[in-house]
Amino acid sequence: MLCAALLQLEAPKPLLWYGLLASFLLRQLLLSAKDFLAQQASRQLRQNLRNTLWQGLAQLGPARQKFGSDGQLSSLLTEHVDALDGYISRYWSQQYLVMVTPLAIAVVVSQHSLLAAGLLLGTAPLVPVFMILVGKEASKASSAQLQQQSRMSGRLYDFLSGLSLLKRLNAVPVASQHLSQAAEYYRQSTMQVLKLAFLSTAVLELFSSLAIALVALYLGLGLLGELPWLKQQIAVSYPSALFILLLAPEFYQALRQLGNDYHAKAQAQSATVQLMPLWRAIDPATQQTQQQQALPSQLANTAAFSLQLQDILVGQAQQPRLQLDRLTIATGQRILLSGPSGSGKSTLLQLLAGFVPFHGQLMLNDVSIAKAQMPALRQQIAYLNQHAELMPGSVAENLALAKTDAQPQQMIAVLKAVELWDYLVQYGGLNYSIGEQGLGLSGGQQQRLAFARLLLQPRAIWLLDEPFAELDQASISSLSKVLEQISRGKTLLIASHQWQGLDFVDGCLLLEQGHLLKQQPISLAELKQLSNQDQR
Amino acid sequence: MKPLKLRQLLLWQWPGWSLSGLLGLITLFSTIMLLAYSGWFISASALAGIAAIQAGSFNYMRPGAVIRLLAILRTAGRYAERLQSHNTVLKLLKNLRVASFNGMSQQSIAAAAKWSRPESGETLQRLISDIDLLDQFPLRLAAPWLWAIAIGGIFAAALSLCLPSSLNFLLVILALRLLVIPLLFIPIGLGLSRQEVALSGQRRQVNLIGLQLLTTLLTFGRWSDYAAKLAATDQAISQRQKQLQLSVLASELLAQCLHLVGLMLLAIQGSQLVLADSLNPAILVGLLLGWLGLNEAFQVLSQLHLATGYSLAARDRTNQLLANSAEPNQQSQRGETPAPDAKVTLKITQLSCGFKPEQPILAQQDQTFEAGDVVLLKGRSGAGKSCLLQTLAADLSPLSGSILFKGVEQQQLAANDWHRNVAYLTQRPTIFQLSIAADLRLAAPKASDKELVEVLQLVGLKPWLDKQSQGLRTVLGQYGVGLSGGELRRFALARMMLTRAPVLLLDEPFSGLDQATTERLIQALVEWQHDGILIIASHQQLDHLAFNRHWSLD
Repeated sequence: MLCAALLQLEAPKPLLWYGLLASFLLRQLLLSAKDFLAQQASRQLRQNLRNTLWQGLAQLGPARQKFGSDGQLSSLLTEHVDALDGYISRYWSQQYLVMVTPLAIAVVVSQHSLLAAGLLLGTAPLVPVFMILVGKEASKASSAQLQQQSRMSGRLYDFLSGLSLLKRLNAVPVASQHLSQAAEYYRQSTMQVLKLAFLSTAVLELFSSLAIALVALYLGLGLLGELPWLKQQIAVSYPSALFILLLAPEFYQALRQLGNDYHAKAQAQSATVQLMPLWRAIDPATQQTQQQQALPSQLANTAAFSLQLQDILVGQAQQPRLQLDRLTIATGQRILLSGPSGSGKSTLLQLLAGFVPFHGQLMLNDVSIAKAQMPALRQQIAYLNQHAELMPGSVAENLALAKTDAQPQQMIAVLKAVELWDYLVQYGGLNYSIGEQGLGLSGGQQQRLAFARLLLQPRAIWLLDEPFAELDQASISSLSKVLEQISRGKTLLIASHQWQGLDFVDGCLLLEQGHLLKQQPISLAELKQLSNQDQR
Repeated sequence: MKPLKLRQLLLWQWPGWSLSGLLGLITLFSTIMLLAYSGWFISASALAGIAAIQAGSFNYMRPGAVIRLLAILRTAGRYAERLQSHNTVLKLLKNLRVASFNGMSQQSIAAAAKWSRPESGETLQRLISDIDLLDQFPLRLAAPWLWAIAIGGIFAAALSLCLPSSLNFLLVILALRLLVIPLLFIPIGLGLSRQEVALSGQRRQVNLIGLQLLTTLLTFGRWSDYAAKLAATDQAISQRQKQLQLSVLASELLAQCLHLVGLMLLAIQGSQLVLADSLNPAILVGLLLGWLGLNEAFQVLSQLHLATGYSLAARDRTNQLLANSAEPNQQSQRGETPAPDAKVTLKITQLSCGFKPEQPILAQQDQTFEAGDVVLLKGRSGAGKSCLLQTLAADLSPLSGSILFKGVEQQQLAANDWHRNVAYLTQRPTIFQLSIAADLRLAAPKASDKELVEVLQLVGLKPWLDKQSQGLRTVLGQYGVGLSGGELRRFALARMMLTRAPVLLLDEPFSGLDQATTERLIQALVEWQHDGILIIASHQQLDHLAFNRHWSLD
């Protein structure tokens, strides 16, 4: 209208200026608000998702290892969750906008010129076609590109992690050549895919610009009265013409935006694929956390426990991971769990530590424990697995995990009990610093420190899952002597695939395919005899 | 290697970037012109009206052709620009990878060995992914900014022709949008994105430690504290992201207001001129639409400070990766070489070795070996076998004493030369994701296929090779075929044999192999090495007759 007034050489009315000002500002504010809300939602969602996953991992406990190493899991929690951002904040809303905006524009345009609206809508049936084309091709291309890119970085990773070997072989120049060759090859093949993929966006672009060109020509010629079918007449008035022209690019804008955001969807998809197994596994588990209960009061202040398990079933009845009809372990008994890997040793320990959902009945000192009380049961139990869990920091900080207010004297006492103090005292004692992954202590020393921690917070039941698996023979024999000393008077269940130094146990349970071979504990001698028979 | 500069990213591929920049410019120009020109055309048509056509004074063919040309240019430009920029980015990433690899390969073996530990894999992976992030600089920062400046310049030129009276004022607005606002926001973006990157690192750390300690934290009742700590870092990151987004929105709003001011100014001053009959109203409409179209080129500018922050963060971390390898390799300056035809000897006098000077693990070793010696190095675990082998292989410097090969002191020889003569097979075998042939040729680039098959035959891997569908061209590793532990060991052994080094040091090469295979391997090795020295460290009881020397560390 502003232009129309100018065209007629009239001064525009002030109202027009204000209208322009207001609509321009309003548009910007609304856009900003939309962006802000979308991203706020994405931030909130990602934070919640991360929290849920984190809570779920805690419920899984040691069983989380089937979903990947701790490094991989932490990537899942950070990078992979963040990879959903583009999808939530941009793509998701855009896929609805892409349906609404062009239609709305077409409706508005049709008020001014049916033919112009027809021109725009005429290309509209192509829109779903292009949605599919853009979708398929772009996602193929971008996932191919992502794969290629990760392969290329994969090669760099490969060579860098084997760098010392390459240097020893004097093969650094050869490797460097391989690297650049591979990158060159990947570039060529990626470009082949991209050439096709970008074609769909290019055609989209073509339609967008052709529509503008067609509309402009139609409007211009209409104003000149030069349309072949409408000679000497003005088809669309000038203000309407300009209005339509301004709206024409907007008609395609939403779709172009969708094409641009497509890689966000591809990224989110690949992240979801990796997150899904974990998400499925923890979903029911999270619900359990809401109804945690304390242990029955008569168990709260007891220092020694006997264990009774009845009709226990873990997994499916046809193919149980663990199935026990009846098992009793008396107070203070030290029991070795033996059996091939996958026989259910770890499952039994994880069950007692409250990390595995199960059917059946578990009793402590003849008091039945409800499932909701399993997490609380952990307060009475010490659980250790093959890899000592240590945090980077000093020895004192690691011990303080078990007892925040432990005095140095107490710490030294437990370190002496596990025969670690004599070593530590040479290198800074309690301040001896342990790096990430326990660097600075040998495997055996790390296990000793983990044992020392158990002594600080005295627990009546000890569950040890292959604590010697990663140690050499010499460490095992000295550490098992220590274990014999410090585990006296505790109810101890130790899963181990080897028996060296474990002669002190009161009995052995032999498991196979989730079942007990003998219903009651047998002696170590009997176990050795049984396994010898097996080998023959 | 010198630290990486962002400028370099553009210089490395400047022809590629220039082309893609030019194509992008054409596309943007056509996009804006399409709108502006169409606006002009419609207005001019309306002005001319039906009468003009009849009088033949308005030629509508030419504008029609221009509009079609612009539409085609815009499409073709966009397509070509995307292809060109991706092509260039891939080249850039290739350069970056090769440069980082070459930079890092200057570090000593002892430092490089850190990367082969599984626990540093995560760090390495993260640092490598930062290299991929560096493409943000040309794509998100340099290109959009240069385009905006060029397009702004073109508009200013058009303005000086048609509406010179508004030029000065609009130049101020352009300068504000292109320079002042980005510069204003860059410190905020830098600060916030640095904080975010640092916090993300922290969150990762907290996450990882929390996972590693999970069962301990749960059983000790400390888990809820830790979960709270994690939630707090997460919250802090989210907070930074929110602030960053707000800064983008603020910059956008500011820019849009400026744009609006420009539009009003153009319209008011233009309309005065039109009313005074000194400007064609159709041209004014074209200018106004052009100004509106400029927004498309300028919109990305409000993200400029974000891109700056992230590219600088990625640059810093890539440099950190390279800085780890900054220790210069002084050994390469040593020039002495042993005589090629001299008799192969390895002499060790008064050697003591260890990882730290204050803690020698092994002291006072004296030994002399000659060609044909087959040595069994014995000792219980922890006696220092690996440490001794690493010292002999020049991975570790001796704490005292000397090692002489063919009478030449280890210190006098360049590291490369020492490695060529004394080859060392570590306990943990490494293979690369290459074809079997390429992996073996790392050790001997000139070896023929026949030689490769022969050496695989020697270590007993011929049956394994025959099973591979693509023979020597079969790709190993993650994307290819797997090898069992024993096969892996023998493969690594075969590769090392191909170096044909006069002295072979093998650390526990037979663990996991059965007795018969072990004996066959020893036999093959002894024959292979009959002109050189073979030293095998093992805790196994090996009583093969071929061992003529026993070296016990107990």
